[in-house]
Amino acid sequence: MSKPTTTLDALPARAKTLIAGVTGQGAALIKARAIGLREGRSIEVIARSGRLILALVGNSRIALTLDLARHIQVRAL
Amino acid sequence: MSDAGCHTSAAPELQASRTAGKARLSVAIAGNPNTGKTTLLNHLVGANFSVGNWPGVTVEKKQGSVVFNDVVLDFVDLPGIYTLEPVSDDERIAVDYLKTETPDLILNVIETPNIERNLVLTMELAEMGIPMVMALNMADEAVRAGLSVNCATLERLAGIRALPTVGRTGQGAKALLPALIDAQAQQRFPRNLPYGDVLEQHLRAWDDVATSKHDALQRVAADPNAVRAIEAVSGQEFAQVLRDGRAGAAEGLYRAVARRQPRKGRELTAALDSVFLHPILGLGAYLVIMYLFFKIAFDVSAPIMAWLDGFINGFVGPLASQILLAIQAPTLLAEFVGEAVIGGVGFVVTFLPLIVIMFFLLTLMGMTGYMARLPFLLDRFMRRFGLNGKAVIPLLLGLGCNVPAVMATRTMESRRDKLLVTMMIPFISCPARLVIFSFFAALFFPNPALVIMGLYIGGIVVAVLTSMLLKNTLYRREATSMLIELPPYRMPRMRTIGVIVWSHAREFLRRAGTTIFAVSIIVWLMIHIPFGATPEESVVARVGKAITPIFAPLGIDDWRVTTSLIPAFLARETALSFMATVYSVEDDAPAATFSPAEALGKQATGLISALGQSAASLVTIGISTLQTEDTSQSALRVAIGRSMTSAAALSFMILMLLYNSCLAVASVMAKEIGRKESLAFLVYSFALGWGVAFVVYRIGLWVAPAG
Repeated sequence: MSKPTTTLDALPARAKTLIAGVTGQGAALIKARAIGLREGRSIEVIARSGRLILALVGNSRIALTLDLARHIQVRAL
Repeated sequence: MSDAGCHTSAAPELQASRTAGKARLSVAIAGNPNTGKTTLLNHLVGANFSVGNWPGVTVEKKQGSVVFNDVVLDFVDLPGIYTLEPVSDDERIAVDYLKTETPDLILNVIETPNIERNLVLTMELAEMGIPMVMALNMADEAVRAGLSVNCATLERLAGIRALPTVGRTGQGAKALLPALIDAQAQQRFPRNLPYGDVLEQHLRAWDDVATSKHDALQRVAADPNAVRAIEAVSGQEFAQVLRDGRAGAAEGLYRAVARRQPRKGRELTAALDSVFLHPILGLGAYLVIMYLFFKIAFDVSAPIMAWLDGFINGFVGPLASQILLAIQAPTLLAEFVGEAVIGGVGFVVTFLPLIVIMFFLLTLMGMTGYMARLPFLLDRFMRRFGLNGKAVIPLLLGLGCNVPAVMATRTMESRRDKLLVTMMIPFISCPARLVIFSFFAALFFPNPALVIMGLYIGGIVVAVLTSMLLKNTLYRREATSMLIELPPYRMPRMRTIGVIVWSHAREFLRRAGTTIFAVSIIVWLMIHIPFGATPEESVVARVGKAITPIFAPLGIDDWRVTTSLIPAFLARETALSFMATVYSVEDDAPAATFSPAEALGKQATGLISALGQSAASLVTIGISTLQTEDTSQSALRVAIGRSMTSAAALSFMILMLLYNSCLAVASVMAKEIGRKESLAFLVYSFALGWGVAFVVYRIGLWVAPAG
C-alpha cells in the first residue's frame, strides 16, 4: 500500500521524506527537476524562512519558494 | 574517492610555443553551475579569470588557449547549466554555443560530491555526439563526504575518459590535456545510455539517418504520430518522458559507479548555516559582516593611502623635478611631469590600497560561500521592493564595480527582475566613487566616515525607491519564484584570492595609465591653450564656464569643478585627477629643498609607521579612519577648500553618487537591457541626481550658511 502524500510546502523544519513526484510544467519546474528535485530522491527540510524553504536533496542544499514547493509531492519515508 | 581504474598521469609539460600551423581543437567546458569550470580553465591555460563559490559566477563565455603536443586547444568556458533547456540569459549563452558552434570536444566538469545530479546533464551532452572527457572535480571533497567513484566502471559504461581533479589545487588538471587530444584522435564518443523501452523503440527508427541521439530525438519530437504513441503508452507528455529517460539513465550510471558512506557527525556547512541563515542570528551576523567590511576597508587602507600620498608628492614628484632639472629638460616637460603625471595620475593612484582591500573582502565573501547565502537570508527584505533574494548578489557585486554587477543580472530568470535590478545597480557606490567621497568628505567634514556611510546608505535608499517606483508603475507584478543552490562553505586559498585581487588592482592601474593619464594630458594641454594664456583664460576654462550655469543652483559654480564632471563620466576618479591637474598648474608654491637620501629614509620610516597603524586599527571597534579633519594641506586640498563650501561639496558628492556611474556602465546597460531603457535611465539618474543635490544644497545652506 502506498504511503500518503503531501506537498513540500506543508512540511515542517527537520522533516525527512521522499519525493513522490513533481507536478506542473514551466521553466522554474524544469529547472527544479534538473537541480535534483525528482521522484525517488530523499529530501530533508533544513529550515523555513518567510516564503522560502531550505532543503537538503542528496548532497545539495536547495532553497526554493513556497509556490514551487507546492508542486513537489512528497511521501513519508 | 577511490582511484580504482582512474588514470592520474603525471602533469605533462606544456609548450609555450607559437600556435601557427598547428592543429587546433575547440573544447567547450560544460557542466552544472559552481562545479569549478573556470578554476580548471585557469589551471589548464594559466589564466587568471575570476572565480567564486556561488552559482552564476561565470555569466559569459571565457576563452583561453594552450599548446600541447603540437595541438592548440582553444577552451571556451561556458556559464553553468543544469540542463540544455535554458531559463536565464547566462544559461542561454551556454546552450546556444553548444547547439550552434559545435565544438570539437566537450570537457564535462562534474562536481563529484554531487555526481548523481551532474550526470543528468552528462546524458544530454552525450546526446550531441561530440567526443567528450569528464573531469571529476572536487575529488577531495567527495572523499570527505564519504563518496567513492569507480572510475574504471564509469569509463567503461560512459565510453569516455573520466579523470579526478581538484580545482582548488590544480591536481589532475594537466592530465586532462592528453586525454582530450586522445579523445579527438580516437573519436571517443560518449556512449548513449538507454532512455527506456518506449523512447528507444522510436529512436531506433532513425538509426540509419540520424547523426546523433540529439538529432534522432529531434526527429522523433517532430513526428506527431511518434509523439502521440509515446504519450499514449507512458501517460505523460513527450518532454517529460524524455526528461525522465535522461534522469533514469543518469541514476542507473550513478548506482553502478558510486558508493556513499553514511556521514558521521554534523558537517561544517550545516553548523554554519544554523547561524548565518537563522532569521535573527543571520541578520545580526550580516550586519556585523557588512560593518566589518567597511571598517576594515577604511581603517586598514587609510594610513597606507596617506603614506602613498606623501610618497608620490613628497618623494616621487620632487625626485622627478630634480632629475629633469639635472638633465636640463625643457621647462614645459618639467611642468607636464609635475602637473599631469604626478598631479593627475599619481594622485588617483594613492587610492589603490582602498581598492585592493575592498576587492579582497568582497572576494573573500564570495569564495567562502557566504555571499551565496544572502539571497536566502534577504529574500523577505527584497520582496518588499518587488524582487526576489537573487537580486542581492548583483547589488553586492556593485560595491566592487557596477559593470560586472550589471552582467550578473543575466542569472535573473525574468526580464522584469533583470530590468529592476539593473536600474538599481548604478546607485550602489563603487570604489571609484569612494575615491571622490573620501577626498571631499575628509576635506569638508569633521566626521567624514559618517558622511561616506551616509552616501552609501543614500545610494541604497535611492536604488530601493527606484525599484519601488518601477514596481508600482511600469513593472507591476509580485516578486517571482526563486530556486537556488547553496554551495558548501569552503576555505579559500589565499593565492587564489590574491590572483583575483591583483587582476582588479591591475585594472585600476591600467585605467590610471590609460584613461586617467589620457584625460590628464588632454586637460593639461587644454589648460595651456592658447599658449601663454593663464588657466583662467584657457580653453578648458571656457568649456567649464559654459556649463557652470547648469550646476550653479547646486552650489557648484567654480569652472574647475564643473568641468571635472565631464571626464568623470568616463571614470569617476578622473574628476579628481582633472582637478589635481588644473590646480597643479595654478600652484605657484616655491619648491622646498630636496635630498633624495634623506627623503627616502623618511618614506621608509613612514611606511613602517603606516603599516603599524593599519594593523592597530583592526583591534578598535569603531571606524576610526577619517574621524578627525585631515591635517595634510596639499595644494589641491587648500585650493578646493577655498573654492567650495561644505554644502556645495555635499551636493557635488550626491551628483557623483546618483548620475549614472560611468560610460562603461551605461554601455553594458544598453547591451543587457536595451538602448532605449539605458538612455531613459541616464536621463532619469541625471535629473534625480541634480534634484537631490539641489535640495541637499539648499538645506545645507540653511543649516550652515556659506561664509
